[in-house]
Order: sequence, then C-alpha cells, then structure tokens
Amino acid sequence: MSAEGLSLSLNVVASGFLVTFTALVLLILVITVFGKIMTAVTGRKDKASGAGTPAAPKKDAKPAASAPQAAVVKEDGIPGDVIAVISAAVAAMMGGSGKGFAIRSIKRAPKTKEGRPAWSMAGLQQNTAGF
Amino acid sequence: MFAEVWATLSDIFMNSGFVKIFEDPRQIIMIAIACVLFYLAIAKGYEPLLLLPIAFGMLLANIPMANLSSYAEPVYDAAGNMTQTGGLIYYLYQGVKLGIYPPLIFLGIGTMTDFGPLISNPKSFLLGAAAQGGIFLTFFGAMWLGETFPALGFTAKEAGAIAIIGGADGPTAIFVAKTLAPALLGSIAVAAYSYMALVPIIQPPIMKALTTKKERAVVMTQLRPVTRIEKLCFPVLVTLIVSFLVPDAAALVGMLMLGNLMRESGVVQRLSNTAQNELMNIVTIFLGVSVGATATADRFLSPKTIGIIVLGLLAFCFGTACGVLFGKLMYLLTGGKVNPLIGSAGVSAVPMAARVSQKVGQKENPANFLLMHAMGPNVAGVIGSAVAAGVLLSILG
Repeated sequence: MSAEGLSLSLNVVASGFLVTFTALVLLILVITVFGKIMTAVTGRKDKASGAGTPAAPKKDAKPAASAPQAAVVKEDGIPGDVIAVISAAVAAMMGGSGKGFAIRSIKRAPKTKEGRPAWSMAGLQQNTAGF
Repeated sequence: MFAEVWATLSDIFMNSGFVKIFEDPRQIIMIAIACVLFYLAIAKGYEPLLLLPIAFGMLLANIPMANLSSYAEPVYDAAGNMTQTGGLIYYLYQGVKLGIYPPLIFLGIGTMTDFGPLISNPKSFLLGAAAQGGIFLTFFGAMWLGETFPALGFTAKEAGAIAIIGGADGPTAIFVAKTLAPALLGSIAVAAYSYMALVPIIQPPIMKALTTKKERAVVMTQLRPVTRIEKLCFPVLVTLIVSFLVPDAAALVGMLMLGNLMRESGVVQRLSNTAQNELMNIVTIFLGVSVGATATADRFLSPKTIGIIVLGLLAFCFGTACGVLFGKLMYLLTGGKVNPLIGSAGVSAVPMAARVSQKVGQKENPANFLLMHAMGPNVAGVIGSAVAAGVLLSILG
C-alpha cells in the first residue's frame, strides 16, 4: 500500500475507533450516573411510602379447620391475589371432577438447577420459543 | 395504407425493449439478478420488506427505453427549458440523494425500539462500539484491495462507503453511500441487506470459534427495571452527546431518538403509530425501489461489485469477531459474569443478531436466556454505527 493510502487508512481506523468509543463511553457515564440518581430517588420514595403501612404478617397463624380461607398456609410475600388466582386455576382444573378439594398450603416451588423457579422457566421458554 | 401501418408497427417494434435490449445485453443479466433477488425475498424470506422493492427497482431500471433508472434526469435545452421530464424513479430517488429517507426510517425504528435493556446495563454500549471494528478494519481492507488490484480501484470515499456495510444497518449504509459513493449505492445496498438476512448463517461459526463451551454457557443476572423518567431522558441525552461530538451523525441519531421519545412519552400515540406503520412503510417502498433502480447494468456489472460483495462479507465477519472478542474481555474483567456471545449482537441488524446470540447460547444451556441481554448491545450497535457513519462522513466527505 502507498504511504499516502496507509496514512489515511490508519487515520480513519484510529480516529474512527477513538471517536466511536469516546461517544459511547460518554453515554455510559451519563446513563450510569443518571441511573444511580434515579435508583436513589425511587428507593427513598419507596421507603417513605412503606413507612406508613403496617408490617406484613410473618406467617399465617395455624388456621381454623372450619374456615377454608384461613386453612391455607402460605409463605411470606405471596400476595392475596396470587392465592386467589392459584385457587381459581385449581378450581378450573378440579371443578369437573365432581369431588371437593381443599388447598392446604401454598409455597414457592424450589428453584431449578438453572437458578429460576419452574414457573418462571416455563414462562420464559414459552415466550422465547419463537426465537 | 398497408405500407404505412407496417412502417408504424415495425417502428414500434424496433423501438421496443425486445430489440433494444440486444444493444446492451448486460441488462438481461441484471433482470436475471433481479429475479434471483425475488426468489431470495419471497421463497427464502431474506429481508423481504426491502429486498423485494430493491429487486423490483433493479428490474425497472434495466428495462430498455423505460427511462426508470434513478439516474433518468430531466433534459433541458440551452435556454434552460425542460424538454424531457425525469423518470418517475428519478424523482423518488431525490429522497435518497438528499438524505431524507434513511433518517425517516430511523424515526420509525426509534418508535419501535425499547432501549430499556441498554439503559439497564449501559456497559452494553462498549460492545456496540467494539462491533463497529468491522467498519474500520474493512476500510483498511478496501484501501489495500483497491491499491493491490487496480481493476477495482477503490478510492478512499468508495472504501468508506463499502466499509459501512459492516455496520449491518441498511439505512446507515445508504446514508453514507449516497454521499461518499453514489455510483456504488445499488451494490452496497444489495450487499448490506443480503448479508443482514444471512446473519444467522454468518455469525454462529465465528461465535463458536472464538468462545469456549464454558463462556457460552454463562447465565447472566437479570436486568434491573428501568424507570419511566430514565426512558424519557435517554433519547434527549443520546441526541445531545452524540450530535455534539459527531455532528454528521445528528440526522440519523436525532431522528432515531425523536421516534423513541415519541414512543416513551406516551402523549403522541398517533404520531408514534404513524411513524412506525404508515410512514415507515411508505418510505420503505420509496427507498427500496429507488435504491434498486440505481443498479443499472453499466454500474452494477463491474469488478467493483465483486469487490463490494467480498468486502461486505468480511465487514460482517470482522464486526462479529470484534464484538465477541470484546465480550470475552468483559467476561474476564467481570469474573465470568458476561456471556461473550452477546458481543456479536453489537453489529446492529436488529433484532436478528440478538436472536442469534440467544440461539447459540441456548444450544450450550437450554435454560439460558440471553435475548434481553443481547438487545442491549444490539440497539447500542445502531447508535454505534450511526456514530461510525458520522466519523466516516466527517473525515472522507
């Protein structure tokens, strides 16, 4: 390659890499700082809104056998609407069998060896199968 | 009477394409190439949205006497009066020549892109930058090839226009080529879109060759959720930073980010819908047909086209390799938290390249979901290739 061509090529390669990386590194810095600020702000807001609400019950007390709702033993952090959805799903599946059923406990399935809960894995598999 | 009719009919026949095509039989080859592209677009599904109009533009441009190439300019007499209007596609081509269509396509892309994965993991920008290595290394290769083989004779501007194929971004390639090498626009666009469609074939062997089984099996941690305010500020920040640094990239990046702000703001739903549907579709038709119609026989059937096809493939390979190698570096620096496969998505080709990362990763570990992690470098690649385009335009333009 001629000296002129080589010099131009090296100029384009070096300045091209440099400018592209500089622009994107600048963006990394700005977005990282901005993200940290936003995380701090939203964290403070969450704390402020959480202070007024009563603490969630640790674990339901032993339920009375006569009350079907209270008979369910659930793990911490499983909200009521999730229990309702699970109960509805079970009812939909068992409804036609002609037998009564009772939900005794609801607990999270252990994580699979891949580090995700089984339902999460099933959802991901379903949503990314097209790819 | 009979003689007059016969003379008229024979005159019509002698001026028809059936006779005129033998004055330049290369047009038959061009029509055959257009038919091959139809096959690839329709039967194989290779980027049909653009390859089909490009192929049809190519077909129209090579019909003798039809005056439908992008170069069919109006004719003026000495007094400046128009004696013949330009062809239909000549007028459509002004949108390419004046750099209007590619930014409008970017506007539509912006309305369809979720930058959440990139905002969530800004380090992805580095992979988007590294994968642009394909552009700059190909520039070097094109300059070397041009000097080594005088039949090719690539000038520095042409080398820059060819190198941008490595950005794996059609509108960016067209935006640069129309300024640096308008004569090569057709070949560059066809090569860029063909290779983008071939990303699932080109990338995996390179990705596998450059990574170990252990690296490919890395499961990355879940991305943090991104707040709305971050998504709203992102397009403004990117526009300001990139446009201040590389003003030549402002048209592409600015329109991309305008589209994204319209999407994220949620207050201009009608505009967002128009940009990503009707406007995008109309511009795609105009862009495809007029770019295809630049591929006239005299310009397309030259040794330069072969050089462009070879260099375009190299550009994609170099870009993929640079991204994966930078991914390996990040794997080492983070103590094995980054899967190097997501680096290949930095070449752009949204979302095809991210899908390839997902597929190759899942072959090693079926429970590995790299798709969203790869979308970060993938959309960073769009910004990166626009920046690289701006650099090439500012140095060579």
